Amino acid sequence: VSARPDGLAGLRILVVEDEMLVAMMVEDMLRGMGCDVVGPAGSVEDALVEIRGQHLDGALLDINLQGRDSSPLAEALRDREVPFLVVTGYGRTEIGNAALDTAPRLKKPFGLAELMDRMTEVILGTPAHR
Amino acid sequence: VKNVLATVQSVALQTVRQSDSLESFEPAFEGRLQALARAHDLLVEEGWAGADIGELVHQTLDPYRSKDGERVTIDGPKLTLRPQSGVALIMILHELATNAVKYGFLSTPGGTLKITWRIDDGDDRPQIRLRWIEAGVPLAKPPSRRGFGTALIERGTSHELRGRAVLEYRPDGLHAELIFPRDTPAWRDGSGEGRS
Repeated sequence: VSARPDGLAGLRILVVEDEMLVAMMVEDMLRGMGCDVVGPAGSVEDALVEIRGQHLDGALLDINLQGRDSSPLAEALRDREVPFLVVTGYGRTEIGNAALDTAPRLKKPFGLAELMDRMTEVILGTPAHR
Repeated sequence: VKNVLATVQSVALQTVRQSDSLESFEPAFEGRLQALARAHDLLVEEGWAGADIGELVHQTLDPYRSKDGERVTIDGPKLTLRPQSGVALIMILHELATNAVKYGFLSTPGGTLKITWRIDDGDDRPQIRLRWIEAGVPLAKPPSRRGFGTALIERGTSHELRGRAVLEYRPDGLHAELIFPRDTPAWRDGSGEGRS
């Protein structure tokens, strides 16, 4: 991975994803952008520990963790003003939780370019250049 | 498994990353895809209730045993894992078997494998200890680079099984041990619990 937008390099990004293979790929993509990866956390409990324990610049939040929705995490991130993207597979995407339902989404499977664009928009707050 | 496409994407991208050529990509990717497919078959057959460790081991190793039945010893009690752990274990066993073909007991005529698992009640909570012990491998050496396979074994054990993998390359073959709690906090749906 060669593309390294300066704005994203060095950011501390929490990855919350319960599927190991997907987590490994996302971690790989983030490292390629020069981000500092926190986690990956595979459960609500583990993710809460990470959210409470340190400064985060952003998070990628899988909407469903082992059969539970990740509303508590969305609320914790919102309360701390940490920008995050909600990552969805297929299946139910409206959860009935404001913090989760109103957050920007990223649909799996996504590629590196899409991830960089969405992170630039949501975490840096600037429109992607493409 | 809810994100089949993203899982396949992950396997493809990471296999590309460690492949020197299309020729080496193809068998590596196909093998991993087959392992994923086996995992899904098994889980569907079991009605997504869980996966028996012995069945996973047999699924992975029987193709090698049929050629030369004496080389592989399999021994352990019936133990059911939650589906996602079952998928992880199939992928881990696949990587161990693939490495064995390249560098381990399946790369040499006298190589053997003993795979055993048991419950260890010694600690505060029961642990499953799964051992993969290769022997008779002259000049056994670790894979030349730490690739996706090794990462998958280690991360699969820590992330999905919530335990740890110890890979020890001894002079006559790999000794691998996966140690993970029997009841993971993640096991919530209740189906299959206590079946074993």
